[in-house]
Amino acid sequence: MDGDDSPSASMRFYKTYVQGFDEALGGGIPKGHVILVSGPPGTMKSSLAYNILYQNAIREDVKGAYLTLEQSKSSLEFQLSRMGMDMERVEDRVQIQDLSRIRLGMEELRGKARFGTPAERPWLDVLKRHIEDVKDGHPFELLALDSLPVLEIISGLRERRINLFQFFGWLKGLGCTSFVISEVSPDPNTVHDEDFLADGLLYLTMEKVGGLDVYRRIRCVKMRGVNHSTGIYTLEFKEGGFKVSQVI
Amino acid sequence: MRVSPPLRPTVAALHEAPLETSALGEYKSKLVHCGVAALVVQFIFGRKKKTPPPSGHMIPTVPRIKMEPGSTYLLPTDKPDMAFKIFTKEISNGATGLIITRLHPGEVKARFSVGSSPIHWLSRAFTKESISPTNLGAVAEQIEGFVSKNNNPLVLLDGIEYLIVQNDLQKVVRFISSVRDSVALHSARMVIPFNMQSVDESGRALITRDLHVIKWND
Repeated sequence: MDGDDSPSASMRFYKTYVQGFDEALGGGIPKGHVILVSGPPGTMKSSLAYNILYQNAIREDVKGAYLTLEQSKSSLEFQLSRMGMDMERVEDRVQIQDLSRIRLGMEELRGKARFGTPAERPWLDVLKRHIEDVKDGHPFELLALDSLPVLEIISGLRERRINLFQFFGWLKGLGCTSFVISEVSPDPNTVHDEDFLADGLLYLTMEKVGGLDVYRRIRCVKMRGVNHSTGIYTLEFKEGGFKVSQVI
Repeated sequence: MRVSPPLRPTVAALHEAPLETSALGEYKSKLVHCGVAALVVQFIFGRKKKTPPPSGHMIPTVPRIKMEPGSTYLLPTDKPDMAFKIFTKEISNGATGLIITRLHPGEVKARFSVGSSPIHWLSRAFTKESISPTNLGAVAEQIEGFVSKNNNPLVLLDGIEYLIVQNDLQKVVRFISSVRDSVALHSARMVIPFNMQSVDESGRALITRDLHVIKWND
């Protein structure tokens, strides 16, 4: 046999560069997937998403864009630099787009004029156009959107599942691999619309161990087209990088 | 003071002899003096000899065991010292060692000739060399990483009692099974000192089930 002709053989994968986790994912995240990074506050969702963009820029020279709708750029940069990431090192490859100010302006306008009407949709259109403009000037392969709950609030998605379906479809149409950060309730039995719509779901949580310690856990709940492990791993950030270890 | 065996019958015989005549009494007196003199000589010169400790235990020597590749050995003991002696003996014979221990790395280096063997300290302290006792997965990863990358690997896993206190017995049994598999998979060797009195009988059965228990006089 000359080679593997299966679709996965020609598929491009992006590594997460989380030590030990890419093996669990069967090599990484397939190109073009929309990945939901979901978990309660404090589980390092934003840091993990940015780190994937950062590491791919350094190691693979891949361009990325990080759109923050909630946290300001300066706050995010402070947080990431404290973790040992050097933003200047990747400034030509990873763009941080601070949309928190735009969001605040839009909310003000909406509050004055048309709050509660279906006219919220234009904001989503503005956001989409902005992302397309960014992509024209900075053709990124990886996109992180932080976060979905904020996007929902300011867009006022009325028919949630339909609107999310359309939005995720638009993200896929961009031709990049997207990480959409979401916050969920700690109840793991609750299933959300976006869980069905996304191609992949990385679920982060915190678990109390031994009465005194709390550990971050990560689990790949789904990853379309990949034979991945569904096991739960301990997620740690140590010596400048993320790593996972098995849970015993 | 212990009485040496040759003197005992003579002295004992004097005490048991009936006092019937003065000649006999005089003879007895001479024998008592001889006996006392012998005891004094024994006391003075006998001190240079090695005498067993008061408890009657022998001073432990490194058990002569042949540690087979792929095997995990449990050493019943209430202190890890003998396991460290086994470890240092093996690394002096060419093994590449990894130490997971409750002892502070500084103490380990001061007391045992462990060379450049990496030491991970099972502790809740925030230091570079510490490893949290509740993060058993991380401990297992350290062992797996070490045995998969080194030639003739040898692991000393000390502090099982502490892990049981910090976690629970079932978790620690799962952990031991996991690292034992890594050791077997990579033809490594591992020695685990363990105080058998720290768990009940069922716990002992669970922990020792798949391990080679070293028989020796602690």
